[in-house]
Amino acid sequence: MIEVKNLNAGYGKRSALWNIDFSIPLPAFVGIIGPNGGGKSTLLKSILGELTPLTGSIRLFGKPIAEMKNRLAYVPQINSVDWNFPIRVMDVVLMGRFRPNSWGPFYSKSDREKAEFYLNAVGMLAFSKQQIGELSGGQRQRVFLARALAREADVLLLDEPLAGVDAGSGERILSLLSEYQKQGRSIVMVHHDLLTASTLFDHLVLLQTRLVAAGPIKEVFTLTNLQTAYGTDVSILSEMIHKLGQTPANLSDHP
Amino acid sequence: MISEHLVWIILGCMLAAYLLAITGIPVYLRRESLTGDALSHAIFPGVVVAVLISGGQQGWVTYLSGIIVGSFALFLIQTIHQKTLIPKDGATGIVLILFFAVGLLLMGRLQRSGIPLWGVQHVLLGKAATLLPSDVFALAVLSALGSVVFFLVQKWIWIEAFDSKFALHSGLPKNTYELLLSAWTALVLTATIQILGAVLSAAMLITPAALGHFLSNNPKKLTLITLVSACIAAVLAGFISASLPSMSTGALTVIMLFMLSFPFFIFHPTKGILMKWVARKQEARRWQDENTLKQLLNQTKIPLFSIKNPSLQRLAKHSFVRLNPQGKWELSPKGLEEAERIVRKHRLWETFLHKRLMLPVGSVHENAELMEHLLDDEAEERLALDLNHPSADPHQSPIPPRK
Repeated sequence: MIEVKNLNAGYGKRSALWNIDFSIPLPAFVGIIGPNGGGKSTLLKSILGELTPLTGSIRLFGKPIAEMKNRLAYVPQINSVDWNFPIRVMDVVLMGRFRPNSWGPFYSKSDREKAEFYLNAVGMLAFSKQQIGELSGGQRQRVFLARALAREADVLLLDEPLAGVDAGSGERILSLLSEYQKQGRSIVMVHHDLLTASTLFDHLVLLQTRLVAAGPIKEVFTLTNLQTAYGTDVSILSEMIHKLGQTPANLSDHP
Repeated sequence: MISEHLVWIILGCMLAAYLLAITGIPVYLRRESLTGDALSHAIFPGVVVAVLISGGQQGWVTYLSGIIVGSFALFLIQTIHQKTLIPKDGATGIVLILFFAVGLLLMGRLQRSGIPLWGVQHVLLGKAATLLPSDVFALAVLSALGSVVFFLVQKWIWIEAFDSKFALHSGLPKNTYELLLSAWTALVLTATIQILGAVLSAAMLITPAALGHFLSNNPKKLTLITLVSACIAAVLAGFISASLPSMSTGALTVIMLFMLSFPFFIFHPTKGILMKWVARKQEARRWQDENTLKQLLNQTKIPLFSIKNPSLQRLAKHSFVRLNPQGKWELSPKGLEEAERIVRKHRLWETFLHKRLMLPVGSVHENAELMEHLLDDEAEERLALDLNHPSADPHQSPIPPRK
């Protein structure tokens, strides 16, 4: 169960999320959707504990998230890492297998196998010996996704994992995530594409600075809710999807 | 002849360098190199105070005082950085020099009070000749301890230095780790500055790891290179310093390490300056030779080549060109094939620019002059396929067929 109670969060004086209240039973595949500036990433950062909420609390499996950090996995912002660092792709993915209580200088054989499995799953096994700085942006993204997956944490948090990934690998990653979730783990994922959202997730959180709706996808993914979130001019879904690439200016600076 | 005393000195130098190098790996990887510098300077007043307290005796008081003063300095740097928003390197600079100044004042005071200065003056510059077997023993204990801990926590070291947020999420006790690492670094510096001196200890903390990183991105190899190079440099320096007593061991170790690194900076097969220069030079020559071949093929534009033209000399050596009975250069069959290959690439590229990128005929030549040297055979083949194997370029000159 993930419970968000009375959450207000933001940056400095500007608040990006207002009075968010919802709870979703886990395991689940949760999509966080909503227009640009709607607070999707803010919610994710709050769950991660990277952003301290102004008010309210987030609980995971009945405990405050600060105590649950080791049961989360996430993909870092790509610009927060020193790309010259002397480390190879395989070493990065192996980090996902790190456990503070697993004493000993080396990773076990099963850790290596897991790391290889997930590296292969994101289509990067051929690069395992390369220094990370030698990879392109999309490849780095995939290596970090493999690291997050390799943790096999109870809850995987993702902020648009398909950004900068080509269509072929995108499909591959989505099916990989479905598979991952079916093993009794949860994924909470910020997602842009409404078309895939409708089939991918089983639960949705629809944000537009305020909470529009949260719960099972059948209850949330309705035309009324989507119109509330994205604006009334959106009667046709495909049109919406097309527009999602741009910021709807009249929506993002909502009072 | 190697005396017993010399063996102790060299062993001491080697252990000091090893200890600094292994400690320096996490410090360097965390981009805290300047902090090492600050620590070594900050410890200086600590050591002076220790001499004051213990009345000239070196020992655990020195180590303790080094750790306390060093940790205080780091705390001060952090506080200044957080409270005043002065960048961390700025705060480090301020604290470093403040502590050093205090140390100098204390030392002046000490000189007047008549307490023997034995050991204190070496803190500044270092002197291995005064090493006692007990000092070497202390270094050996620290080295052994450092090695075991480093070996056990190496996974942490890399994870934490690479992505500290991730380390935190993986359950690494980040604050404890930082505290322990700083305290350990302060302890190591306290132990080594009496041999190498404050400034040079800081250099020996960082330089081996930097060399290791230059030579390898593989964590294991990086570690090995770091440790081995530090030991070699120190042993060499120990020999020299012992036979030439006027030379500072610390300075010699740093210079030896630099001399060890220098050939790599120059001759490293991919990163070395010389190899990069040679590669550029070779590339320039290839372009020149390809242009010469083209000119010979295109007899109308032929300039008067001197016999000694270096490009022609090179081409003749590989029998691309030869002198005909009239004493003029001409293409050999092999040279003709090569020249046509270049012309083919040139004209294919011109066709591509004109047909696919819609560039006007007049502006395709310049770019093709560059691309003819850069296109590889696979790209050439794809280009020909994409353009449906054209027989003439936009200037209506024939494109030679592929051989």
